[in-house]
Amino acid sequence: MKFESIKLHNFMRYKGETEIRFSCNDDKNVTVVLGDNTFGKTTLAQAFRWGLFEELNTTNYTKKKDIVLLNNEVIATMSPESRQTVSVEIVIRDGNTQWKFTRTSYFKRKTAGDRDLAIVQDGESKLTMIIIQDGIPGKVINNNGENTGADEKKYKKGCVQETIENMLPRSLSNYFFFDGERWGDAKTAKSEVKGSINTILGVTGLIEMMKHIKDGQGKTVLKTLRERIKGSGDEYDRLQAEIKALDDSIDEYEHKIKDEEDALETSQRERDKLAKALNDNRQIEEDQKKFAQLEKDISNMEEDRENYYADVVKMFSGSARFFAGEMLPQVDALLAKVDLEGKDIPGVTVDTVDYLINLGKCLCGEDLSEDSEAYKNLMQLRKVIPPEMIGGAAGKFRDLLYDWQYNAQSLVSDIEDKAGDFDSIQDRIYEKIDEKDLLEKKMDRKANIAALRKNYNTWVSLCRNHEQKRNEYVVRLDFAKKTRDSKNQQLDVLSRQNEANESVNRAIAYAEAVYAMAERQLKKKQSGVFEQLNEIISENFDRMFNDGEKYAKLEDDYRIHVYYHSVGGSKDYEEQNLSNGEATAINFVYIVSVLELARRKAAEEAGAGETDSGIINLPLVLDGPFSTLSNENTSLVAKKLPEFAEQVIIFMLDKDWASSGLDEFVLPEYCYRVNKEEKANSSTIERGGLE
Amino acid sequence: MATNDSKVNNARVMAMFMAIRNSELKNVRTLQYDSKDMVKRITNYIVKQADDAASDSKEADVE
Repeated sequence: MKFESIKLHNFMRYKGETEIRFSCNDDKNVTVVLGDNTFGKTTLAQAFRWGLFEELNTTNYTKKKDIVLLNNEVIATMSPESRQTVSVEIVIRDGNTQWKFTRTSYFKRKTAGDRDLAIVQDGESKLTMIIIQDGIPGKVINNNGENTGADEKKYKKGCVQETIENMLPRSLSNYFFFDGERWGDAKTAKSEVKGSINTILGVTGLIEMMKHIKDGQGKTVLKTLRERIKGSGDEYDRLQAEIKALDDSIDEYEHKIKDEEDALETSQRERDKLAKALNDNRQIEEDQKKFAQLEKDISNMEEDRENYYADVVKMFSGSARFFAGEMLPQVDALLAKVDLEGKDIPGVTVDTVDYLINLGKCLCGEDLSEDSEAYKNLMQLRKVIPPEMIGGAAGKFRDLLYDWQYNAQSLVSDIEDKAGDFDSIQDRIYEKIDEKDLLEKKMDRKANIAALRKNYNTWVSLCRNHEQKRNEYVVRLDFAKKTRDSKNQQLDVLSRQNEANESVNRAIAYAEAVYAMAERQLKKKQSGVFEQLNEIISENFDRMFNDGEKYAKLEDDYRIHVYYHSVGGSKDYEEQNLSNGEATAINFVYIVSVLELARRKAAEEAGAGETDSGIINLPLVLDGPFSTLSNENTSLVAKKLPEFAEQVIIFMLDKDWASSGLDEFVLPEYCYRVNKEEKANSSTIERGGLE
Repeated sequence: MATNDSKVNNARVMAMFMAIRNSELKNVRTLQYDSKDMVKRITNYIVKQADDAASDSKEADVE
């Protein structure tokens, strides 16, 4: 199945009629629309979405209500009474059959005033289809069911939309219509991915059926039937009341689980957004951390420096002894001829001798008269004791000086050491200050990464909380369901005693049998699909990144994780810091893998004779897929594109064209260029954009 | 679901399954009915089919 053409009439940037025909060539299957940013490439992607699903992609900057479908120049020239149309016509071909789908909206002025340019939609949009078999067009079929003749019965209300969604399932639209912003956003919601996989498996109807029969919240078939059972006795009433209470609890748990899951998904998205921001700002965070560390280091070192200085001062304060040491040689010279041994009696001085002589008697009782022997001896002694004779004292003094000199010997070297320490720490402080100044100049001090990190941690713990709560409710739900089932069985036994319930019981048995069949079929279809998708992802990843260093794996969270085979001895080490380009490339792998899974499933079903999954080969429409990729990755991705889908339509920037290497897959007539006149708001498309 | 198997005709379960599934599939694609409507439609369908199955088997017993 391929898109053959798209025709726009007054659609957003495109005034009047604009048509693009797409390459349906098997080999050169790529159609390229080149143009600068803001020229209107994305409008073309919007035209596809609107034409097929009456949907518009919103962005962070544009909300749905702000999007004006009608061309601005047309609005400006509208008279208050006039009515203008916007339409998109898309032709799809499969073999010899073509479908021409046309969606049209009508607009009028909101007020009759000339100055107010606001417009409103006039009535509902119209959707029609013409089936062209072997080039022969059939009648126009209206989606609103207003068809004539034999078509009236065949084509009921909603039939055209149904035909479109059989060909291009809406839930898969994010895989075949891909815009640049989404392309870089690897964080597709888990429920969305699960939904897509269920569409691929063709089990969405089955899941809805199970919900309506038994699993759903509120009214279900089985609940409705059970309510019709007529009671018999108190026991019956009691059981019924208990079941009713359990049903209420089950509803409540299901709601709570849903709430927790929604909250979990939101928290995960926030967490991942912050993780990405942290990753993007890794350098800033590192710089800020380094800056804080430097400040701390400097302050510590300054403290050390103060201490060294204080030590030196203290050493100088005790330096008297060192300088006294200088006196020693002079003292030595002075005392060179002095008998430093001394002959004095320790502690005895001239005063002692004079005291004894005055007394006239020695301590031993000897008479000390002037002519006595003892008197002469004392007078002799008087000559060699202090202060008459200071040899002994001087000797002690010299010894003290020696001692001081010895002990003060290391003072200079000690002071030198301390001064050295002081100098070197001073140098290091200057170095650190230089480093800090340099960092301060280049780094972003305003970005509050610490707050970001704190915020991130909050979301991480919120995720954990929601997960925990969800799991608690799942356990409670499970228990309530089992209890209810067993009570229902008891109720069944009782109800069978009342013949009036025969018909209802039969219907319950059938409803349960149908449910069981659906359950079996769902299990059968779902079994192995996760593994199969994982295999395809792994193959595609290897095709793109063939260096063999890393591998990709889809984990239970329905996200692709990238691992190193081996890093520094540890195996299966997860790559946490994918660059933007890598994330885009991985996302690309994901998308083409989902498409490939769809293709394989379709082939399997065709082989098994099943025809109702509604999946066929899907074309790939990409808006700005390369904007975040490096040239190298652009070429890697782009060259694989033609292999991944039967037909590829790309809206891209001129600058990416050369590196994409797509020219070998594009026929010159399927290369278009979007032009915008300088003063005009409208864009035009020119064929043969390469020339 | 062995207990049900004895109470139901498997061929009819299959036919019911296909019919309900197809109408669900259609509903998913076109969102023609809301959930309440679908529950009502399926309930009525099952009751009617189950009754038909019962009268079929009674007729078979008579024959």
